[in-house]
Amino acid sequence: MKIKLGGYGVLKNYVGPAENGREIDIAESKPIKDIIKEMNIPDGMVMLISVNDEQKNFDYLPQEGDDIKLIPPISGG
Amino acid sequence: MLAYGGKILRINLSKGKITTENLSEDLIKNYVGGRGFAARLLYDELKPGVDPLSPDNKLLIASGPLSGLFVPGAGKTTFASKSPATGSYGDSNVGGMLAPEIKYAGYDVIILEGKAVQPSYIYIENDKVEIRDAKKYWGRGAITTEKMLKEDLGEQFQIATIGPAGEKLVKFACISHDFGRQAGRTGVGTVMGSKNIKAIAIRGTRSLKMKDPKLLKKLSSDIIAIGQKHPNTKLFIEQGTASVTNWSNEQGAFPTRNFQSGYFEDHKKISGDVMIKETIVTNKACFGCPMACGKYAKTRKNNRDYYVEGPEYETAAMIGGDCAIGNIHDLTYANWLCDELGVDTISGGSVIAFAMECYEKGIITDKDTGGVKLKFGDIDSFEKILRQIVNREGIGDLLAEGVRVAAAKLGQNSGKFAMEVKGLEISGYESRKAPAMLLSYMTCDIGGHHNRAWAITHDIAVGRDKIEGKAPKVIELQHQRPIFDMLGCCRLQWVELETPLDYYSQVLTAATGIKFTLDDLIKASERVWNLTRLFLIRESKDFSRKVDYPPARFYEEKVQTGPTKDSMATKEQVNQLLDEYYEFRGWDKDGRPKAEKLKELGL
Amino acid sequence: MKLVADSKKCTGCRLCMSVCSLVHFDEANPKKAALYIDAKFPEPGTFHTRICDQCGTCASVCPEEAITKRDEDGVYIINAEKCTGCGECVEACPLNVMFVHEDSSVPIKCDLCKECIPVCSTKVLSLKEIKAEVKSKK
Repeated sequence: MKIKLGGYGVLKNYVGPAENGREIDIAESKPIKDIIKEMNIPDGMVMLISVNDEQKNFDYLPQEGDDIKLIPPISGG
Repeated sequence: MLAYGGKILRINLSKGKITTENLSEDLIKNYVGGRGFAARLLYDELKPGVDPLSPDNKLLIASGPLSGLFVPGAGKTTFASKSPATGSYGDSNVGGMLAPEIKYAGYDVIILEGKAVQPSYIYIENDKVEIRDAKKYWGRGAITTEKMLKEDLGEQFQIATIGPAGEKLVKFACISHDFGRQAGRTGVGTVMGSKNIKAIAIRGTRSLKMKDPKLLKKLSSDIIAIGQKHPNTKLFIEQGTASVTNWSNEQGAFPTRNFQSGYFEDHKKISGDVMIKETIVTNKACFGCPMACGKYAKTRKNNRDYYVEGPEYETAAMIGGDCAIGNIHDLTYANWLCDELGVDTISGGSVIAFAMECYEKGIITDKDTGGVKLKFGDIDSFEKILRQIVNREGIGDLLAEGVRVAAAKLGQNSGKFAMEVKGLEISGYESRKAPAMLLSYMTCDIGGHHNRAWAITHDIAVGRDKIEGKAPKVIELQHQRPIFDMLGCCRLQWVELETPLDYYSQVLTAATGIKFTLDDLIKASERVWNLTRLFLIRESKDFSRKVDYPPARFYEEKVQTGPTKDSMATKEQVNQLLDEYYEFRGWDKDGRPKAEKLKELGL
Repeated sequence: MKLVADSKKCTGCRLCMSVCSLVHFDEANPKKAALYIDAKFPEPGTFHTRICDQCGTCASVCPEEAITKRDEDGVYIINAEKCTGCGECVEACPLNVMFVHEDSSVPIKCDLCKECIPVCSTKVLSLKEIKAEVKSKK
């Protein structure tokens, strides 16, 4: 199953830029949190997940063709 | 002087004398504007040792070269003075519409010196500058005063005003502007009150000219178009800074019950998504901002509607978590109280949280509070103590001095949980398991504030227990972030929308016609950082690295609950962080800039 | 064509006013813009975006016939050379969108350059055909 994955801000260092999400192939659907872990992104670095421009939670199971964008924490001021 | 207002407006309140001076090229090249101008002018003009609340102190209101231009977020104003909280250089930044108006009136910096003989306000309409009687407004709330002044003078006047807290010299009084924006920190409102100045009302009708307006328009239009596509634009317009509340709790970084914990069990009742459902009326932006983070809200209490901008994340953290006010309507009301009374919600929240803990421990009793049962989570006792502080009644008179002074007087080891650095109460991040964030608070030049280096994501990225290697990142941020306070625009476009830093040097060059590279700006920022350090050294009796120590709670006590439970920094780690920091800064073991560093910076 | 505004979405940032003065005068000065944001604070806490709807009242009252309708899109344009700065149009404008500034006696009026539209993040401003009904306005 193919999905697109990218990140904003510091998360680009882990998964590349969100504007140009790279295609990855996953054998079976699994919660996004597991994919985040496999990318070696430290706990807490992802604040929000956007899938096809809609906010999803960490347990979301990606579907074929999803465009997933990871958003790091905002600074609060 | 292209893009700049071109003039410093000096108002001597004691003599009633009003003069203007031209900006010098040297000041522009080395200090850029805003905070840079303020630091240089205060360092040069204040005699060492002046009492911050005496007529000898000065209050500077500074715009930056980008303020008022077609640049995203170009509405930031710096208020600066010798701080009554820290006794050193202090500044605080406010959004809204003020800095643009100062520049349209033809100025870059307004200097208030001396003291007015009676309560007064400053009236500025281009060249017409007057010190006017303010009897009518004295004693009124900040929101009320702004409303009255706009009715009296016209809605195009931009107003900066203090509330009763500033009049009563509460050490953490803020300056309010634009119905919800505050220069909250370092007691700038206290200094304004000490000068008998209730408000500044300003209207400017002049144009700012630029070297290459077409290039500026292109650069800014492109940046705005890119920013609009970033998901954080939507997030900020919907929830503002409160969108980080949940995450901060998940990281155990949310100050709770006077920093006893980093996790507030009721945080989901005060987060940004709750505000959308319960309180937000309008999304409100500062000048030129495409990502409107201001959440203008309404709550109802005692059969009355209260309108207030907020709560911001910091208010949610310092009154919500730290005082355990876990209800969005109570929190919104507390925010309104602070705004109307003219109290900084960060220091105000911290002071009341400190008092709540003192009451819990029996250090403050019913006798001190006049029978008020001061409890975490209780909005009624929060309000009563806040009013005692603002009226300087009972224990409020002592609490009005801030946690450092209050703890010194109360004793019984309360200094350990007086959550301040250099006399300024720490803002909204629990930092025992975030060494870079801890170091940021320790070394922030105005005291315990997050804005110079928001480094907690760096801790998370490279390891929250790791000490080594944190200092360079903190220093990098301490140079990058204050650039925005020098330019007179908001850093959040860069922080949240990834606007590249060199956009700012390009747009500054296009506007002023003076060649500024990004390196020039970073160098200027480092110059200012070292200058404010020299200010601190000059004002300290026995200067040592101890000025940079965090409150003992951070290295003597473990976090009580939540994801960071049981974590704690050690004294050794604190010193290790400082050793590395001083070394990378070119400072000696006590934190004094070395001669070669000063030479390098032209200081 | 004319501008329409959905004021409910307005955040009061003034980027529209800012770009307007920049495009028309090469200056930064929102007080020299052809639109305005009324901020109603502290209560009820709302913004109102004041824009020209090209109703043509200004043209109909101008004693010098200095304001004329552009054929291709129905937008009313001031001929600065003919304008004497008498202020009749400013007075008569039903929406209060003929702006006066000390730099010039010629009022500032929306010429539908459309530059304000894309800078607005919340998409307050958009374009609309001028319908026949507008013409029936006095």
